[in-house]
Amino acid sequence: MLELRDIVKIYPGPVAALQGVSFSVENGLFGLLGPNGSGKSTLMRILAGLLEPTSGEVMLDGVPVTDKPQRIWSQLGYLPQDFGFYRNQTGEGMLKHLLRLKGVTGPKGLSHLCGELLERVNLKPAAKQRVKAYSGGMLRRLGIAQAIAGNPRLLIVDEPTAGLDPDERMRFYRMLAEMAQDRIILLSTHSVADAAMVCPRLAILRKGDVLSVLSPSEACEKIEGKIFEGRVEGEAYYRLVEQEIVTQNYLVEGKHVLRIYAKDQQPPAGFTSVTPSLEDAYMLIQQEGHHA
Amino acid sequence: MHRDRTVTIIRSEISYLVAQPVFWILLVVLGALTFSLSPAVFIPSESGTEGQSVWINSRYALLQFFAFSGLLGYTVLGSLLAGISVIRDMDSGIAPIMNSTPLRPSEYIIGKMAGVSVVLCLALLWHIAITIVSYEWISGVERDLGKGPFNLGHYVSMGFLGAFPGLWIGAASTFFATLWIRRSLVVYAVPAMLLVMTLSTALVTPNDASWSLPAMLLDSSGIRWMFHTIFATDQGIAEYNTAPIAFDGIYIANRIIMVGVGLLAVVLSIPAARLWMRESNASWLMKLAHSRLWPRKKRLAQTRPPEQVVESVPAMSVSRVSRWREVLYIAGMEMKEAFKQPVYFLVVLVVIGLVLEAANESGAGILGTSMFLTAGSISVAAFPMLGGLLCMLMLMFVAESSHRDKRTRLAEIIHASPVRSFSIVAGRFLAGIGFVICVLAIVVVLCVFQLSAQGAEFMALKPFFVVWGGLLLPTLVLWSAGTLLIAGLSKNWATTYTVSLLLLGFSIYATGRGWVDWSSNWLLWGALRWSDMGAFVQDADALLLNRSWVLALSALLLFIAVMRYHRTDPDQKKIKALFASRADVLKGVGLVLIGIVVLALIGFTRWNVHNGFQGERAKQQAKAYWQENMRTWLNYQAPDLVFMDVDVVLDPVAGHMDVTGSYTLVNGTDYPIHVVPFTMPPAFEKIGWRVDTAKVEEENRAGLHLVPLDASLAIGDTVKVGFSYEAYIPNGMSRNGGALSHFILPSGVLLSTARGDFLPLLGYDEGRGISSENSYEVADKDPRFIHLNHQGEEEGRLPYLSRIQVTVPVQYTITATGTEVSRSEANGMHTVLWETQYPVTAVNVMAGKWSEKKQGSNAIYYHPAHDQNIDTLMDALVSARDRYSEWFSPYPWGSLRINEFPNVATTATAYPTNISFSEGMGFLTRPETEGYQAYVIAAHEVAHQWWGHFVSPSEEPGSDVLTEAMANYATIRLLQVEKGPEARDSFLEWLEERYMAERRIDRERPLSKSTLGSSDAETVVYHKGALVLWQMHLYLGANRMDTAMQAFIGRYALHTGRRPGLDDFLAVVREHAEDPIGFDVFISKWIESTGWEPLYCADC
Repeated sequence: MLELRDIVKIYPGPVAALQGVSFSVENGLFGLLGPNGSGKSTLMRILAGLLEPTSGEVMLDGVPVTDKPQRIWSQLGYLPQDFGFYRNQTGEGMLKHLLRLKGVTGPKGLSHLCGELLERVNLKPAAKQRVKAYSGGMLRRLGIAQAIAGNPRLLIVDEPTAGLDPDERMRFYRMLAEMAQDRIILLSTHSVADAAMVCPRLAILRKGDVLSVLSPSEACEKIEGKIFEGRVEGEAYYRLVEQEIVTQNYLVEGKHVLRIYAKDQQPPAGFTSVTPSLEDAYMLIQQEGHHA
Repeated sequence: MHRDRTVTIIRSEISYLVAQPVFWILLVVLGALTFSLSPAVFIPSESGTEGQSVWINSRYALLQFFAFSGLLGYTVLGSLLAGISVIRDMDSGIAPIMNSTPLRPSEYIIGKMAGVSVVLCLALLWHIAITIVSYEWISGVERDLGKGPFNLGHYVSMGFLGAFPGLWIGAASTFFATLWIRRSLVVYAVPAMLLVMTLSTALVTPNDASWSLPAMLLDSSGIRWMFHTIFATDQGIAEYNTAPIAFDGIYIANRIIMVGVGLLAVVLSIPAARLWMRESNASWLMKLAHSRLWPRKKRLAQTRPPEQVVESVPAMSVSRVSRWREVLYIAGMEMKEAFKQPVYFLVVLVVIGLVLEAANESGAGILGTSMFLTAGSISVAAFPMLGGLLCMLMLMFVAESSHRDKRTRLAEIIHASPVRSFSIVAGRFLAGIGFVICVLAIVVVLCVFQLSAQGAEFMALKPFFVVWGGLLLPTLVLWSAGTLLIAGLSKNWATTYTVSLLLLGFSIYATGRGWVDWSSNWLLWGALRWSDMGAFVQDADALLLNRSWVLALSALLLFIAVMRYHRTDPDQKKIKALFASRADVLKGVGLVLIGIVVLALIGFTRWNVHNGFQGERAKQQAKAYWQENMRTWLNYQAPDLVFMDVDVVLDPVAGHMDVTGSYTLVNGTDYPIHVVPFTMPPAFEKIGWRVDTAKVEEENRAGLHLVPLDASLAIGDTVKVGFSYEAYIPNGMSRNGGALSHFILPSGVLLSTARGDFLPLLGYDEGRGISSENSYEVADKDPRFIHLNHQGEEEGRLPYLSRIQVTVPVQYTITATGTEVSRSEANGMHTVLWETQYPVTAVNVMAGKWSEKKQGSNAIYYHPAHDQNIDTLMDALVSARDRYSEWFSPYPWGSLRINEFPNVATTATAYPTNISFSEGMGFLTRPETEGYQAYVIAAHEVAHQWWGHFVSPSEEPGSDVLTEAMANYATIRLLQVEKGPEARDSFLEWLEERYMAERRIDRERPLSKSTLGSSDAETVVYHKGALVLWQMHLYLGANRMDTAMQAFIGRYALHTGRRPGLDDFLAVVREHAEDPIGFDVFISKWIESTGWEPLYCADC
């Protein structure tokens, strides 16, 4: 189990990036959901032992790791948001190097394992190409290969699917889901759809605070029957945006479509009840946090 | 071109560059150079005999100052600024944004380079301003030079002329290369190589004619042109101070080439900028090469259809990797990365070229000789160049390696992996060492090829392993550890380069100024001398200590580098408890322990240097000797030595001697003597004195031993003073290696009465304890007071007979002054007795593991591997002895020998019957085809048997002509008779060339007033003196010259007790001149005046 106890991070300025984050994570996929600047990456870097918190404690399976990050590095797979590789090495050479450093090998040897990992991320055909010839998506896939190598106890992936095409994205999520059965996987994303798809539990962050820790279904259950959708035009649109709690706001065929949260289940005229989505719950939590 | 856009780029560039630490460091370095470089470093003559001196603010002085300080200051740091300007845009990934704006590549390039130029011009203006302040208002380094009227125009014009073209081409070429190659490595590699190549072109390149013109045209500093023109021969102080500089077409062409090539580089940067802004990965050249020469294989498919891809996680296991395996993995990857950088190969090629050039230079011996190369001489000669270049290469490797993870954005992945911080740092460290070992291996292979061209007997690998492996590698290890630490602390590659280069530059500067000793000379520059007869035996302990502290310090720096390697960004707000964990405590203890070892080793080395024979203790002892005795004993006339009887037991392996002996003294004064003073060097221990047979107690006055006589020694009476002592020679550690004048070493022994630490010196030693603080001028330098110091021909040492018995282990051969009388062997030691039948004024003892070549009573003792010139040397020895006996006087002593000694000093010194000859002199000279040098050196030294010993001149001004000039004159004659007029003319031309190059017009004194001891007089006595004597020979004719010299020797030979001066010699020759009045005119022209018109040298 991964436990976070009152993690605070203050950057010189001072800027409070995290303001006492606490939650615990069991085996399985756990999402960190929040807008830009909410502290997701800071939290990820603290968990990966790359950033010292100002205060607080991180425990992995009951072992404190904050002051001794090397305890976590031996059990960690990490894919940062922004990363790269040695440009002159081949994809296979680079992966082999990282696997050697992690002490990872396969039943048929390191080279075979490298091939298998590259196969999983669909880079086998480009294994002998130099990294400098890789596209952004290929680099991301190579990053995924090194992160999952060695069956790490804790896998931290920060915005892992940025730049991946839909097929690759889905394949990666399926792989994560398979791996999540006996390990902790922390997935940071600002895509509510991705979080809803793969994370049985997630934490919603805003400005360094954890607003809520829940599952997508719990989130939706809480607002069941309170989300209404309707099409509006002209003055009505601006009035409703001003007066109501809007969870989603988009255009369909040039007309405004609003989803609003009606606590008293009294929607404006023309609005009908719809099944709530995680995005409705997420936006509502963000807004409530804001109003709070 | 859009003006506003260009101006925006210029402004942005200026504001960025002036905020960079490199810019401010450049200003500091320029200031430091202004205050530390000699203002007239290249001007041949700095002062004259009439009190005039070179002006530091003359056009000549300012031009050479700005050229040299500009070369050192701007070539790397100025060019770094240009490179930083480009690389920051590349690192920021701004290309696509710039490409989407109306900005044109030409505007970008012109704006950038204009910004760089403005910033560098600001630095140059600061350079000029600080020079004005320093020269005009502050009295700084060597400001005892003169100063002319202030002229702002001179400063500005010479500043821009001397420094700007070099600065400009360095910046432009770095700018160009960085844009085309797009690697941060280039930002350092190009300027570093420019610096090395310009220094090499300006200062090191061989002086032969085929190199002169290209070197003058290509040297961006213009210093090479100065050496070949305005400073080639001394023009005189008046000329340097006031005359405008006569710039010729070559200099103007050089300046135009530098500025023009720089402009061309800027123009050619525009297409590179275009490619970069479009994010094209390859230049047109690379594309062409790929398409035409190496057609690309069919592009591999990058993905497969999704249904073919397996999604399950493969089976794998994890195990802890051992620490050293991790280190090897990291090192291996670093090496792989290095070998994939073409820039490294270019740099390595330049390094190899320069090192091989330096190795070849080791073949240049004295008298313009060309020597055989040996593995040892190459490895030591190329040591500074190789060390310096490999340090620069290592810096490039370490800086790139340390910042690669950050630049490629792999750092977070590596840092979050289980690999140990130690392994990351140590892996990079090991890779750097491995990389330079690869370069060293290539250089060794090339050097061995070079050696093999001379013959199989010269091929050897061991010296390379000893010198470059055992001695150079620790330097590189320390440098690698230090630069790793700097890289870790600075977290910025430009700062890493700048700080490291400043450290290296300061170390080289400190070495050049003589500030370093064994406890601080980590580069080992100037400390090594190679001898085939025994490598580094003279400094073995010092080298061991030096390399030990260097390695210990490397471990300490590496330890700190590992400790300071932060994988986790520390929290700035958190208050950290010191030694919070057991690991911290252990690290702290480790740090302290290694620190203690380092300090102990450095402290112990320093203590040894302090107490060594060149250390502060020895200086204090010498000063105390001077202080306590000078006033009392300076003009004391000691009794005369008439017979020396010495018994020496030598232990070369221990460096020890045990001496017992006696001096038979005669009171030649006009008063009775009660005590006899002897100067005893600090090395002598367990000293005992006897008078006749009775033991006496001396009074020791700081090294001056006053031996009491039982009864006063009456005028004309004789007394025998006995002595016994033991000593280690050299006594303790040297200060920073270098030459030894006398020594007992496993590789050989050289002891003499002329060099101090062998036998007690009768009386007070005037030179002991004299340093720059208490040195004094002798009145004879002023012609008006010569008579005050001219103490007559009878003054000075009287000759004596000697009996020297030497005992050494049987594997050593012994020679000493005199003729061998007896020989015996017992207990693994042999004892040889040498006696002189004709008096001498100096004796020596030598021993070595020699081979022997004998011809009659002549012999040569030499190192068995140095037999290349033995026949030539024997030819010179025999023919010179025969001819000189015929021309001057029969040889008075029974035998004559040349003995080779290890190259701990590069000298040849003629003692009566026993000539000492360094292995660096004639033994390894290349064969006759290159100018009879081995023959010349031997002939010169043999001539001293007559000119220096058989006739022992007085110490008055001009007398040295009778030794050194006469020895060269004898050599000219011998060459003419034995080798023909061509050999003679070749030697005459060489003598005149040397004289024209080395004479200092404003300080030169006539031959009749020149005394050896100052560098200015040396060329006058040695070279001009020989040429004048040869003119005298031509004027008088050979017969009259021979008759005159025979008459002179007959009148002044050693046994007469008379010591002649030059005047005495000229008086005798005048007696034999056909036209004495004409001879007086000859004397006035050649000997009593300083003018000279070249006679033999067409190019002078």
